[in-house]
Amino acid sequence: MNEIEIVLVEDDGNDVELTLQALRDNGLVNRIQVVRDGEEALDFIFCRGAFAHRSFLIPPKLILLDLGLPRLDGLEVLALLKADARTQSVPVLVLTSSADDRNTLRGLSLGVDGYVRKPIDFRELRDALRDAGFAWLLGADAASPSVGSTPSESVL
Amino acid sequence: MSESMKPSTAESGKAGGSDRAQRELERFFALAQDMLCIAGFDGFVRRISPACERIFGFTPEEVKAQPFLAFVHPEEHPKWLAELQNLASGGVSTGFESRARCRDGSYKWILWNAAADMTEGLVYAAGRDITERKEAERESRALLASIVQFSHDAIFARDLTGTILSWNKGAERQYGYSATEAVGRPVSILMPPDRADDFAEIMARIKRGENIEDFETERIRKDGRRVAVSLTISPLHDPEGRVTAASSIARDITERKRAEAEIKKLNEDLERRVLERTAELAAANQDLESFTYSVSHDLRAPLRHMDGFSRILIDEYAEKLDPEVRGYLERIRAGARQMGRLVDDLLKLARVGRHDLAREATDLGAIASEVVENLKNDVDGRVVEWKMGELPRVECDASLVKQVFQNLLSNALKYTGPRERAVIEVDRVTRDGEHVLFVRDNGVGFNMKYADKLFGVFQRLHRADEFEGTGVGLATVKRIVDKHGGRVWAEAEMGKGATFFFTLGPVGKDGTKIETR
Repeated sequence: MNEIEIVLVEDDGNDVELTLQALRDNGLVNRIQVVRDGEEALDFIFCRGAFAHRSFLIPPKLILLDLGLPRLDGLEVLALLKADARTQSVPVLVLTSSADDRNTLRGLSLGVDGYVRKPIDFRELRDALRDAGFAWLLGADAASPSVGSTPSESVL
Repeated sequence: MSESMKPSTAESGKAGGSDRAQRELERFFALAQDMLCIAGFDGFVRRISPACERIFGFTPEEVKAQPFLAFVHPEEHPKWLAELQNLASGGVSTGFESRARCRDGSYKWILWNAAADMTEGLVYAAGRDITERKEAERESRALLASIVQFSHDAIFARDLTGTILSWNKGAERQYGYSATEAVGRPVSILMPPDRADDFAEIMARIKRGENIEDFETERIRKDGRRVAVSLTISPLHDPEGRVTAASSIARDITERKRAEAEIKKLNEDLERRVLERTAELAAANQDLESFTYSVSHDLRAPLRHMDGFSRILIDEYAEKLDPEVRGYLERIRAGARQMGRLVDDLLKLARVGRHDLAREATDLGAIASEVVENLKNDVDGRVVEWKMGELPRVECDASLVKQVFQNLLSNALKYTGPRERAVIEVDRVTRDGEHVLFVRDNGVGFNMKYADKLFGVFQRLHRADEFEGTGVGLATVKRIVDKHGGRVWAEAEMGKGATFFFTLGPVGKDGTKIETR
């Protein structure tokens, strides 16, 4: 069974496509769950609602969170994740549309682990994870981005 | 021969004593301006100097012919009798004022000083005509009285029990009581119940001899209406110096009080409106902030997609694409990226407008150096000489001024691109006593003919394919400099380079900023 390792919370279809493309190039796409809004994200992570069948035994290893979500907004999702002991330690990287979004986000005070600009550049993702202390997540294979390769092994 | 000045007994000049001394006394008697007079207790004048004729028209013979009381105003007779008694028992009479009848029937005021010689049984007196003085006194008293009487302020006197002794026209008008109604009544009729304590306090202070000034209180009129007053109350002393009464001047300050209350209310209104306006402004600013944030956020998304998918096409299908097709895709990407930069720059420009200037002592040299360090990352492969002068510490908004240096220096870097060796200088200069900062480059420069377009939004003096740019950077610089109260301008020569000068506010002679806010 494919365990879901990365949760991508993103409502914009084009952004989803572009992100998957970037992650695909680095062999991570098989382990990604895409959810399209905050409620769906929480349902998935906490194994409830439409995802009640999921087992909570192994939580996702990484959450990529866009903030501009309809209904439940990204910062609220972040707050809830960091408030719950079961999900506190899962790294959350917030996806921003520009470098200076960071200045206007309260994310830092809510416990975000890092920021990555959209569209995702794999090097940036790796750097952000490394800065947050989670470099091991991407494993030895993820040293450089590759183009058009088949999914390869990784720690994830 | 007698040396004393006392005249010898009248009747006839006796030949006793030296002739000269006698003649001298006689001359004195005749010439003295005051009336010199010798009278007996029988009521007749024995001798009177010729001055009497000058003063009240009777000859000495006529005066001697009648009892002297005939020449005294009838009302004064009792006074004279009492005074004569006093003289008879050995006293002296000084300052005795009395009216004397003149030949023409009018009366003059005479001031008498007299002493009696009881062995002779005679009174020796000197009388001075004080009619003019009396008249002047009377006029002056009349003037003062009318000043008091007709004064606009309420002026009245009260005794120490608080009984009203006098009441002027001003008091009649202010309190509504006529003089006849007020005089004799207690002053407490003017005090409303809540000011009844005034009475005891005022009386106590008056008895101590204190002057009361500007005592603000309220009084009540005959018709029951209250009036706000400012009181000045002074103790009045008798000749022995004891306080026997008090005079009050009451000024109606109702209008003043009303004006004061109105001003206070206006001020409060004003303060309240300022607070409201500030809150409104803060709210509007916040709205604008959210608006610009979400607008730029939403504008970036499609740009991102255009750039992203074009890149995938280029990357994934490189070999299968005509160079022409690749070219078009590149141009789509370039367009999207340029738009992204425009959005970023416009956002920065808008932010400057909203940003409240936070002035603090800033080391300009440190800021400029920081910007230069960051820019060094963008100069791979190029030869760039950075010349940094001694920049002053000034009062300014550090983050905004950093943007100024960022924009000017990155421009300098950009427009020196074609040069083999770029030279970029940051320093200060004194012009007309002012300290001016500048960024100078040896780049391509521009035509001074278009200098006035430099700082307009989206205005560019070079073609986009020559030098990329948004045309917003210098507009942002100008806005920041304007906000500081400074000026920015440029001098350039085509092909030689450009210098951008700026000041950050009014400058003192020694280069320190004059605080205007």
